[in-house]
Amino acid sequence: MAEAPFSVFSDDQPVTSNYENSSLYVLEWLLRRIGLPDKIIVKDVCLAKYSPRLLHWVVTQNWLPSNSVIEKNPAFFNTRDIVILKIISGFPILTKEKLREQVIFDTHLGDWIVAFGNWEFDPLKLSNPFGHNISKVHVWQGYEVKVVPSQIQRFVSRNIGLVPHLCFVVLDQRIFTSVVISAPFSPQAPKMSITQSLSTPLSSSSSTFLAPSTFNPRSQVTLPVKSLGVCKCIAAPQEADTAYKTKVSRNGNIAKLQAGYLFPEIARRRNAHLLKYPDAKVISLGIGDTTEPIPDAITSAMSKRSHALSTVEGYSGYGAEQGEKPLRSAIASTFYRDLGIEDDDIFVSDGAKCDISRLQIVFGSKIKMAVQDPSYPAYVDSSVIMGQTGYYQKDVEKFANIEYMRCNPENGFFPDLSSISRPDIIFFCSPNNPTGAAATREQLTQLVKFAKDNGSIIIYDSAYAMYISGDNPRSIFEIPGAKEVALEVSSFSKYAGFTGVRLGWTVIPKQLLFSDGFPVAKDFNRIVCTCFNGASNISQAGGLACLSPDGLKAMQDVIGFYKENTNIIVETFDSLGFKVYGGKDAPYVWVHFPGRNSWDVFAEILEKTHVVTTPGSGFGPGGEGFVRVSAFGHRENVLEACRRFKELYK
Amino acid sequence: MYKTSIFSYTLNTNVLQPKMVVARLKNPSPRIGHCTKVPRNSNMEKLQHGYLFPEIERHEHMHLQKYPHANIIDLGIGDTTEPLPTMVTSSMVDFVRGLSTSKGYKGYGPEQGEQALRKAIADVYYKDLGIKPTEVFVSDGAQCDITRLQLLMGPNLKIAVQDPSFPAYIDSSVIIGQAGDFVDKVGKYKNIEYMKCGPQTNFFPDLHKASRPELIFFCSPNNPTGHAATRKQLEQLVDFAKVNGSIIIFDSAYSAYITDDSPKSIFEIPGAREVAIEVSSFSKFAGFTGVRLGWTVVPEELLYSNGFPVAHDFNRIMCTCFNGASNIAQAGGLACLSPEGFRAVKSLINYYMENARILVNALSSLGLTVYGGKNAPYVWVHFPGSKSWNVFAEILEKTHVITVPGSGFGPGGEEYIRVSAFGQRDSIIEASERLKYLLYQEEN
Repeated sequence: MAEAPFSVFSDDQPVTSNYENSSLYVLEWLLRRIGLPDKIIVKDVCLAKYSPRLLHWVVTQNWLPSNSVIEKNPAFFNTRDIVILKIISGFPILTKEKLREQVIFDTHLGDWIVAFGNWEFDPLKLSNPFGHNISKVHVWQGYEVKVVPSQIQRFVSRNIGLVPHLCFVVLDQRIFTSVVISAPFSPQAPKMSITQSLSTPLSSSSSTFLAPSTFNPRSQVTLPVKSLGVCKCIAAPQEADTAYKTKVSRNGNIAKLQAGYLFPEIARRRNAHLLKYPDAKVISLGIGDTTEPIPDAITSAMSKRSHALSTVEGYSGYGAEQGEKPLRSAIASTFYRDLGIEDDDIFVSDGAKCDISRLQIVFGSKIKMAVQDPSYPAYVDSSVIMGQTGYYQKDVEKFANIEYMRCNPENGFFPDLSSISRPDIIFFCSPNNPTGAAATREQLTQLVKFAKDNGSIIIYDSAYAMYISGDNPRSIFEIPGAKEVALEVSSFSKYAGFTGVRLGWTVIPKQLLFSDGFPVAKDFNRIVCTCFNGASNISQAGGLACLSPDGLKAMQDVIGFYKENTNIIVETFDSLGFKVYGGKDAPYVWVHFPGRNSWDVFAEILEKTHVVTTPGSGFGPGGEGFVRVSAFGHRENVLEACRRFKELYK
Repeated sequence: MYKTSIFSYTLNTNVLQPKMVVARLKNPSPRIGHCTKVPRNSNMEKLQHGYLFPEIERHEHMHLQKYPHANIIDLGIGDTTEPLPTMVTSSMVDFVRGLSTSKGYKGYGPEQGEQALRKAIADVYYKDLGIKPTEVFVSDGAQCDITRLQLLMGPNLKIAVQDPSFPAYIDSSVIIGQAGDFVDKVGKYKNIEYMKCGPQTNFFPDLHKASRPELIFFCSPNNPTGHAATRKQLEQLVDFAKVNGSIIIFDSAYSAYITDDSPKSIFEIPGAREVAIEVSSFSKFAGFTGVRLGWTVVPEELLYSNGFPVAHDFNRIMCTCFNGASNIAQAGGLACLSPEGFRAVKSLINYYMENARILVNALSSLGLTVYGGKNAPYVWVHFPGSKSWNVFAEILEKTHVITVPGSGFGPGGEEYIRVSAFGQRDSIIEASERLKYLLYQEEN
């Protein structure tokens, strides 16, 4: 995943597929307002690698007089300060225990990352963008970073040669940000007394720093350092906007998520590219969105159902949350014939991605999961949201408490299970998105045995099973014993072009039990009844038609079409001398660019050929050096894209 | 005088007591066979019994087994029964036909919903209220959005609900881990604030008594009581939220049924943009219960305590845990909001409200105290001194009419049953007759 460009909110990531909602947009708007030079946004900020651990270390060391400021250690306050501290109502006392609370920790972590991060531009070279001496910027002086004893700050500062200053920019009723400006450390700096800054409220602070949120607009703070142009700043004037904030804390789990969800992020870059080259004919082989029309045999069933809804006989209201009986039965008999899966083991849904979240809700926050690395990002992101993970560790590009099972050409895209510590839940996608590798029967037998030995549950994602050409298993339930250790998630999206129509299913065998013997299916059923209300009945009519003899043939035709696309792409990269994986059992081609950064390759391909692909590292650190090319596209577009690839890499 | 306590008669022993069907789904003896080592989610264990409506369905099945030829009339779950306007279905048919052509085919849509639909919702439902299309998130229904909102907010906060209220608020809260243990004695979860809404307080909670919650689920017109909060009440609510720094999740799924000048949206109240989210749905407005379409409005001004916009995180949830509502349903939704479509669905609403009048008249003519039915398709009937599950069971046993026991909506619903006005006119009239006959028999 790319570095977040310049964090706008201290603990924020750019989020959306919608540029207008994204923080980048907010940032640009913000910087326009305060007139900061463009170069800030152009440059990505490389944030500190060690901040999470450093903060954690500080918070967990018993010998450190940590939080000395917080604990009102007189060494850091003069007596007047103490008096004032005592009379301020609601002054938060951050004890170590409090600091270990996730939300508080998160907030500080965000500030730390900003404060102690490496910056790719030199703040000292910035000229004062504010012009006047009055601005709505508060320089958060080093001593005010009160979680950390000054000694530690100094130590860190010496080593990186800068002392952190957080600036809180307060601009609008609702927008504020913390931007760090670093200044050279000066040991002679006078200690700032906080007493001088208690008269007027600083309107916003995104931080839970205990420093009083008050500041005197007229008393210019003496900077303890050579004053930077940038920092000739005064606190927000009193009339500065006090955006109303609720007292509800942000969910710490969501704050942990990195940057945007991969595909919205790609959509954003695509849109930015379109702005840059309005006339370019952009071809998207990125997100893996189906492009071919749905066969008539299937749409006619849906239009019939839609029409029937306007008749007395044909109208139906709420359906069963688990899906309509005929569809459940057709799924069981089409995909799981002879595998001992019963109709009522099938739960129909609005798609695999939605079911993955519902499964996470079933399992809760106290479990440990393993994923293939690389893998479809929704597994990890939903796990983070559920609170199963620790923090993101920038250096290894992994979340703590998730087991990343490396799958690469060297191990035949199947993890070395002997090196994996015991997970509760194993997400396993085959044919794999993004590598396109389909696990062999032997590999899956190993996987099932591993799960059984460890008492783990496999969540098997078979959304691409119909793309399998050879005799690799199409369902985990082809493996003996799998019903006791696995459930399977699947979807009509890639079979029948139902990406927009929305229909999928999950199979949970009755034999799958929690450690206390309680059936997993019963809890999943409860979730489906409470958190979901069934898939659209029109989509279900379409799904049923898919599984009729005509429908099955029609689906095979569509799949055959995409597989031909796949061949064209594979041949193209082959002929250019690239190592190409996938493509045989899946509509994805996994191209190796050894030694290169995937986002760079992605950007190069987009810039030079106007073709959108997906950078491998978006699927996890194991995807670094790869790019995924999707075979979903009109034939002429795939051909054109391949022509452009040949031109670029000839 | 009619006896209003007739239902406290000794019950037929065959009638299931709710406690007996409380599927405490714990397995007493571990099953033979492989158990994984994955512990069951303790939040799931905290859930009390089957989700209310599937539970009622079980009763219906058992009743049918006992009386295979009974002509059951379902005034329970509140499921729409009237066909969709042709204008709406033909839009969906056109869209579906388009999907089989190169030109009309569409794959993944935006997770937040089609632009045109977001705009139409903002224009039609929030005209003059300053809601922007980008603040509207289209979904597959209010119930699903409630869970996504719970995921958004996470386990470390306290919620308040109206008591009685739609059970999904509490159940989703339990599942996400906010609720604490269930206290049998009072029939409540420890960490949930139950705000009693009874006739004594005009179905609005005494906010002075409520301790500070982070989230307030508030449904108006209310399911099950049928009460639509007045402007003054909602002003109090917004004020309460503002003073406490709470966020209101306002469920307006029945707003189209309001006949007087009660607010149809929380955003009619000044200042609500800073404290409220609104969840709504096409289910009851346009008969989309099976088609699945709803929406949630998250205003830009709504901020967490650290100033971060709630909408950003909700957007992230929509992108990660959801993939957009079915595009066919969205085409139908757009048609409902055209002037012609709007008129057509309005006539469906009038039809159900006429049903409600019939039920209210029938039940009041028997001397029962009846609430709701004026601004909502639900009639809330009081049986003082009786257990609502008993009343439910006796009505089912003797009239083959399915209602919903009030206590299924929380302890505050005890002594009440909810009768839904969703049904074909004949069934409604027939049900009214049967109820009258039953009560007449009991009388003599």
